[in-house]
Order: sequence, then structure tokens, then C-alpha cells
Amino acid sequence: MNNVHRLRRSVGRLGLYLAALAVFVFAVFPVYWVLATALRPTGEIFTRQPTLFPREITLEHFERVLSGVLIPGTSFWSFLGNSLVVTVGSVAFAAMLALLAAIAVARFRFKLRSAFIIMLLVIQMVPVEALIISLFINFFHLGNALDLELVGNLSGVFVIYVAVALPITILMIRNFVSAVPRELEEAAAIDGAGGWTIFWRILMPLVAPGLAAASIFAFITAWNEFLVAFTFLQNNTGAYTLPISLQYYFGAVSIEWGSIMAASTLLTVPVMIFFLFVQRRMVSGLTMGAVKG
Amino acid sequence: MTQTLERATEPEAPPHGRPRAASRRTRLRLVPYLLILPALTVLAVVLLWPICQMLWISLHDYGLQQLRGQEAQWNNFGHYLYVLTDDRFWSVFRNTIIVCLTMVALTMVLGTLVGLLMHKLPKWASTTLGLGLMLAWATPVISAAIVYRWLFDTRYGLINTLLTALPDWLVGSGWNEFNWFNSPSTLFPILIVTVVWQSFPFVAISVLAGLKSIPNELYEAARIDGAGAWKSFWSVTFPMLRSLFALLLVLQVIWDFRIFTQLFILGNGVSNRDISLIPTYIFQLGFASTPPNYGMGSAIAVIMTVLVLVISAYYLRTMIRQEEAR
Amino acid sequence: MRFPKIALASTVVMLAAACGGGSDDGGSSGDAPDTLTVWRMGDANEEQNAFMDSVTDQYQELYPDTDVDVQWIPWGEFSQRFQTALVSGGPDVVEIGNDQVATWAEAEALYDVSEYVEDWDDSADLLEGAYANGTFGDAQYSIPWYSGVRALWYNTDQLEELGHEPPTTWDELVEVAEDIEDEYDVPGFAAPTDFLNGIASFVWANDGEFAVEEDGEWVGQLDSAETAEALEFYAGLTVDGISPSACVGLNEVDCAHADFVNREVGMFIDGPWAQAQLEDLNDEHAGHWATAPIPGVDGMAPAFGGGSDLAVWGTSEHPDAAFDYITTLNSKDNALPYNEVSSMFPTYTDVLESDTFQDDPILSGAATQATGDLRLFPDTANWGHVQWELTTIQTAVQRLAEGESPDDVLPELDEELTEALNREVSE
Repeated sequence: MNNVHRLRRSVGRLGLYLAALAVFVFAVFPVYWVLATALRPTGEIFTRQPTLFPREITLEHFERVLSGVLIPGTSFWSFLGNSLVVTVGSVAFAAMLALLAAIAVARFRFKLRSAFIIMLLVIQMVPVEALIISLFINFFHLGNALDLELVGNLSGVFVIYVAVALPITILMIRNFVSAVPRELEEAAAIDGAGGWTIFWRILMPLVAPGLAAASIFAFITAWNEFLVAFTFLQNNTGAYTLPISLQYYFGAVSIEWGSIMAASTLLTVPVMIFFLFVQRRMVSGLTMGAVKG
Repeated sequence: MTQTLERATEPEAPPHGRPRAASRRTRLRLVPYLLILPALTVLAVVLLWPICQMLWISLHDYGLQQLRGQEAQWNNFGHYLYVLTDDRFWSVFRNTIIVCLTMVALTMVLGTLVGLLMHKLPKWASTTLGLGLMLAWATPVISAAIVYRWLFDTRYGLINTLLTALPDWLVGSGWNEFNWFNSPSTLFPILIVTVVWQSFPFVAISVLAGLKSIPNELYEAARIDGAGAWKSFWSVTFPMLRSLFALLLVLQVIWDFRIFTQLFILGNGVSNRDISLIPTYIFQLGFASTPPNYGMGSAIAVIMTVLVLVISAYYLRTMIRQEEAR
Repeated sequence: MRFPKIALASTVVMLAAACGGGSDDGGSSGDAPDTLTVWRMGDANEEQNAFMDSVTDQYQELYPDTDVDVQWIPWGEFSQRFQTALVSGGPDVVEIGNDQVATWAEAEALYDVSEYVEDWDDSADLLEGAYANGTFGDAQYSIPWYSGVRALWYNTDQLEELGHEPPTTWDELVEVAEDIEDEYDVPGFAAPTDFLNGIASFVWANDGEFAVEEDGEWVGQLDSAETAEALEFYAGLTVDGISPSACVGLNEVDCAHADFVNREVGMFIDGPWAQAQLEDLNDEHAGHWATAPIPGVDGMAPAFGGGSDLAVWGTSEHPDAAFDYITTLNSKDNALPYNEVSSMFPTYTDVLESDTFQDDPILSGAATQATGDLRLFPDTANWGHVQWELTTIQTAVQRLAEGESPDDVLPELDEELTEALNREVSE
């Protein structure tokens, strides 16, 4: 009796582990395959008898990607630079603007407050995929009127990333600002501290972690962004971001899968490292309010 | 919710204040507007105005000439009439709905099951699996699309090699140099796998976090009532996590509705109209056709925007109510 | 409110550009750019790249300090790429489909090279029709580069045995085809119905059109006397058993390639680019293959002449250096090397008629065809819809080939054609 019970339990346990193993393989295998392809010599890639593990490890594809021979006149480092500038720059800029707006929304009552919030809620639903045509046309006309180059270089993309990040960032930071106990501010105000002092000394340190959490999504969205960059930067290889540069490889002589996979690895690594640190925050950030609500 | 700064200033602003205090009050009233001004400006230029433009363009004949400054002609809803009576559009529309719903359903079911599985596993196993999920989750969208294109590559792809090597009675024959990317019936399944692969980890980890918040006693009680795993999921887990599931569902629908990059890579651009979904179709009509037809593309973009807003109406209403209740 | 402002702004920009362009013409012609960017259409391959490298070497003899950056634009993406380039600066030289020149010239995306053309001697030898494709009033926006033309494939040994020259008229085509059938017991000529590019030659040869534009409206011409007669003749080849009935509903490749290499059909129409595919199938008789111009009513028929032009992009800062690249790439000396990597024909009359092209049996017929009347389909954005989606004309030919009466088929499909061509697509 007892044995049967134990047997059934260990069979059930075995089933769990097998299922976990299957999920693990499903999740990890494609990532492994990127790496495995990136590290194989070309001869091993273009074969009808691929092996699970590379028989020989080579860094030639990484060297090709890093040296920039694939797209003349550019290099991996310039793409990385462009990606970092638009991503980090736009996220930081958006966080700054969002913090100001969040303070207004969380700490003041004003006439247009709920209109503003409702606009944020609605506007974050409007897909960029739908707006892309009018963004392109609009930025061209705007650039002409202001004598700025908004299409064909990073500035237009930068501004769009800022705007796309703003609504969700404002809405999330607003919660962090509200969570700062007012007593602290009141105490400071009684001590004669002005608005700026309260902002820098009291609000900032307490809100900073929230600011970071709220920016994670904006960061990942911008890092991954393809459509806007593709539409705005196509004619200027020098301004390519990493995702666009990856796409460009498909137009090459023959698709160099080794180099594509190496470039893909290089695109992925920063995000992986980033994820390791922020993973927990992402879940709590996104589902904030939902679990308790 | 009372506002601190506002309240703190009240003593300094008596009803019949001196001129100085009055101007200070006006200034204070302006502060929130000044604070939202920068964000509002960016939003107005980059999102609000283009939304209006999208509407405007969709109602006019708008092509290269108009882009170069020629005046656009009102076209009497011509684009909408064309689109709504066009079989091609409706087939794209249907495909978008089917593909999107399949992705969402698979993501939610798989994600929930994996979340439950991780909850049952011992810590070390759960953490290891979590790390594995994170790899899929963190992979940039374009890399994910590229690796699936490579796995299913016509000549050297692992999948075709495997299917060719496996006995014919099991998987059928004809896999040698089989092209997966030309027809909707083979391309969309790959697209679905690619998207689900990337999105189920988020659901799994969110569900796991939710499960951890449910007190164990509830499950104990259900077990005493004789509930099995199936029943206790529906009587305990689901009601407890209802709002989490609702949120995840809405997010998945909205994300999956907008799939562009993956399809662009798998379909090798947007020129093959048979494998279009709404976002790629907009791009196809607006930019990729010659001459480009911004008006037509915008009309479909407007339709897509309306669809997204309708889909998220429930979620939006809830959020707005919450807002008003604050 | 907004539009006047934008119009003003863009006028200012255009004026500025025009002035800038003007001063460039005069003063800085000696300037060599550091990098000259060239956009080619399609997908690169090893041979094409080697050819482009050789052109770069030639160009660097003129401009030793200039790097040439050749970028390949997939056909499916060029429009989007052109739009970005139109608004924010593009390459120096572009290859542009000859059916696209009007669209982009109208959008002021291309540079008027008429001044440069005057000083370029070889321009006199360009095919007139092809050159006119880039002419708009006084301006010349593109230079023809290559065209792909189809021709009639036949076996030299068979025709010699029968004592025939390759057919040059419809009557001769039928006569030769019947003799082939009598002698070898195989169909003499393959006339697939899903083959608009070939069918077009028959329609045009009989002075027919698919559609004509009248007062801004397209009017289908399928039931006009000339077009109907041509379609009936073509479909009649199947009805009369000259063409195998298996070809109904098929394109030229599926219908004819395998049968031709196995000598199970006498003649068929395709481009010289089919050679490699044919040899892959069976090269046993490859030594006897040859091409001749497509027979018309009384002599060589007009042919569909899809191909590419070369243009200087409007925003190029070095239009003179860009034009020098065009003349280098499109030199007469490069005609044969380019044909070898692409199977495409140059647009110089004298080169096409020279021994270079006339000595090769597979090139000669098509080369002669390329000197003839090359045409494009009606210039409307709806044409693709008609050709690829509705397949109106192919359907008409198919139904005629299946024995339906022209009176039933043609008016009905002509109506479909007219309607489809006039569908509301803004432009």
C-alpha cells in the first residue's frame, strides 16, 4: 500500500521533471543554436548533416562582424554606438520628462489632470505600426519647416522613442511618487525647504529606484525597435542601429548565417546581462496593481 | 488623494490675500502645467498630431506628389470604400485575427502551465528553469525571428534535415529543401512558434509570482473538500489571480496584434502579400508599393487603431474608472 | 492653414536645392567625391559582385581617390528606400526599373542629366525607344542600361532537316510547327496561357493594345478587333492542336522547359536566361539550341522589354562624378560581361547588332529582338493587380484555348479589365 503510494508519487515527480526538462529545452535550444552556429566554421554551417555540437570552434564570424567588412564604411561599433545613444539617451530623457509630469499628476490637483491621465492611457494603446506612415510624412515636413534633419539620421528616431516611452513611464512613476510619504515633505517644508530642495533631497532618492524600474521596459522596447528605425534610417548605413544592421545582412551575397548569428549574439548579450539584474522588477513593475487589485 | 504641496501652501494663501500672495498662488496654480508641459509637447508632436494626420491623410489622395508639397485632394472616403470591399484586405484581416488569437491562447495556456509547474518544482529546479525561460524572453525580437528562420531554412535548416532523416511513415516525405516561408499555411505556424516562444516566459514568471502570493491554506481547504489539481485550479488559483490573468491577456492581445518584425524577417520583407498581417499590410501599401499610397496605408492604419482601441476598451475602462476613484 | 506653410517651406527647400544644383554644374565639376554610393536592385550574387568590382576598378582610373560603395536593394524594398532617400538624401547613382522612371522623375527624385548627355558620344547609339523612357520635356532623368527580352527557342538541327529558316511571321510559325509535328511526332510550338509577357508580343504585333487611356480613364481593349484577333490566334494554336493542350493554365517554364530539352516540343518562347535552367534539366541537345526574334504578323513582333535604367539621384552632391560612373558602368565594353552575369541585353543598337552578340546562337535571336520595338504594360498602379491577382488576360486566353467562344469571353473580361484598371488607388 505504502509502496504503491510512494511509487505513484515518484512517477508523478518524474513526470514533473520530464515536463520541466522539455520546457527547458524548448526555451533554451534556439538560443543555444544561435551560439552554436556563430562558433562553427562556415563549412560546418552549410552542410546537410549538421551536428548538435560544433566539431570545431572558431571566432571567425565574430571577427568578421566586429571588423565591419560586411557593410562597407561602417562597423559593428558604430551600430552599437547608435543603438546605445538612441536607447539610453531616449530612455533617460523620457524618464526626466516623465518624472516632472508624474510629480504634477501625483502631487497636484489641477483642471486638466484627469484629461491628461486618460489621454496617456489611451495614447499608449495606439500602435506605432499604424502611425508609421504619418510619422514619416510629418517628420519630413517638420524637418523642412525647422530646417532640421529628422529623417535619415538618429534625431527623429530618438524623439519617437522618447514619446513612445513616455505614457507608460509617467503612469508607473506616478505610483512611486504617490508612495513617498507626504509627512517627509511636510516636515521639510516646515523646516523651510523650498520646492527644489524637497525635490532633490527627499523625492529623488526615494523615487529613483522606481524610475529605474519604469525605464526597463522603455529600454528593452527601444533596444529591440525595428520598424521606426528601418523606416527612418534606411538610406543612411552610418546611422543604422543594431537591429537594422542585422536585417541588412540578408541582402548580402549569400546569407552568411555564421556572421548573422555572431551579430545576433552580440546584440543579445547586453540584454541578457541587463535581464539578469532587473528580471524581478520587470514582473513586479508590469503587473503592479493587478495582483492586489 | 489630497495633494501635499497644495495643502502645505494653504495657510500662506488666505482668502483675501495681498497682491504678492495672490501672484504666488497664480504661480502655484501654473506649476503642474509647467511640469507636464515638456512631456505634453513631445506627446503632442510625436503622437497626437500624427494621429490626426493619419486620419487626415486617410481621407485624401496622398502620394509622392503630396509628400513633396502638392495639395492633397479630398477623396470622399474612397480609401475606406476600397479597403472594406477588397477581398485581399478581408483575408489579411481574418489571418490577423486567427494568428493573433492562436498566439495569445497558446501563450496563455503554456505560460500558465509552466508557471504551475515551476510552483511545484523544488527551488533549484524552478530557478534553473526560470533562467532558461529568461534566455528566451530576453532574446531580442529580431534575433528570435532570425534564429527561427535559420532553423527552418530551406537548404541547411536543422528542421528540414531532421524531418528528412526521420522515417517517412512518421513525418511524411518531401521535406528535402522544403520551403516553409512562401505560403501562409506553413509560414504562420512558424511565426506563431516564434512569438509564443518569446512571450510564454513572461506569462509563466508572472503567474509564478502570483501563485506565491496565494496563501497555502486555501489549497489545503480545497484538498480537504476533495478537489483535484484541475478543480483546485478553477476554484482557488483562477479566482485569486483573475485580475492578473485579465491584465496578461490584454497585454498579450495588444502585443501580438502588432507583430511586425518577426513577420518581416521570416517573410523576407513585405512583398509577399499572401503572408501579410495588418501591420505589414499597412507598410506594404504605404511604403513598399510603387508608387507609394500613403492614403490607402493610412486608412488601414486607422482601422487597425480603432480595432486595438476596441479590443482594449474593457481594460481602458477599468483603468479610467480606477483613475476616477482615486 | 498648414498646407500653404508646408508648401512654402518645401518650395524654399526646392529652390535652395535648385540653386545649389545650379552652382554645382558650373564650378565644382573637377571635385572628386570621397565615396560614391550606388544602389543596385535585386539580390547580389558572386558573379554580379565581381562585375561591379571590375566597374569600380575602371571608374577609379578616372577618380583614383573615390571609393565606390555598391549597395543592393531587394526589389521588394526599393520603393520604401527611395522614399527615405527622397526626403533625406540618397545615393549618387541608382539603378531604377524602367517602369519606375516616370513615378520618381515626377516626384523630383532624379537629377536632370541632359547637359551631361550632350557631351557623351555613345548616347547616339542608344536605342531610341529605351532612351525616350527617361525623357520628360527638355529633361532627361535616366539613361537606359539593360533590358530582358524573350525570343523564340528552336533546335537548329530540326529546322535544317526540314529546310526551314526560323519563322518570322505567324503564318511561318504555323507552317514550321506543323512540319515539326509531321516529322517528329511532337507538338511544334508551345503556347502556354499563363504567359502574359509572351502573349503581349502577339497582341502588339497585330497593332492591338490591352488598354488605352482616354481622358484619364482606362478603357480595356480585349474586344477590339486587333487585340481579339491576336488573342484568338494565340489561343487557336492550342485549339488547333499545334500547341499541347497540357499547356493550358501553365506558364512558360512548367509548360515547355522539360519538353523542349527532351525534344518533346519543337519551339517555345522564353528569355536567354532560361539556358542555365534548361541545361540543368538535360543538356544532351544543348548544342542545337538557338533563338530567333518572336514572329509577328509580318516580321519581328514587338516585345515586352522590362529592364533597368540608370539615374543620378536628385540629392547627389556630385552629379558629374555620378554621371561618369553611369557611363563607365554602361560602356559598350561592359555590355558582354554584364550579359554574361545577368543574361540581360545592352541598349546600344550597334552592340546588339555586332558579332559579339550575333555569333552566339542563343544570344543572337534575343539580341535582335532587343533592337526592336520594346514596350511596357499600361502605366497604372492597378496593372500589377490585373496581371498577378486577377490574371484577367491569362484567363481570357485560357478560356479561348479551352474552346469557349470569343463573343462570350472577351466582352466579359474586358469589362473586368476596365473596371480593375480604374479602381480607386490614389496617386
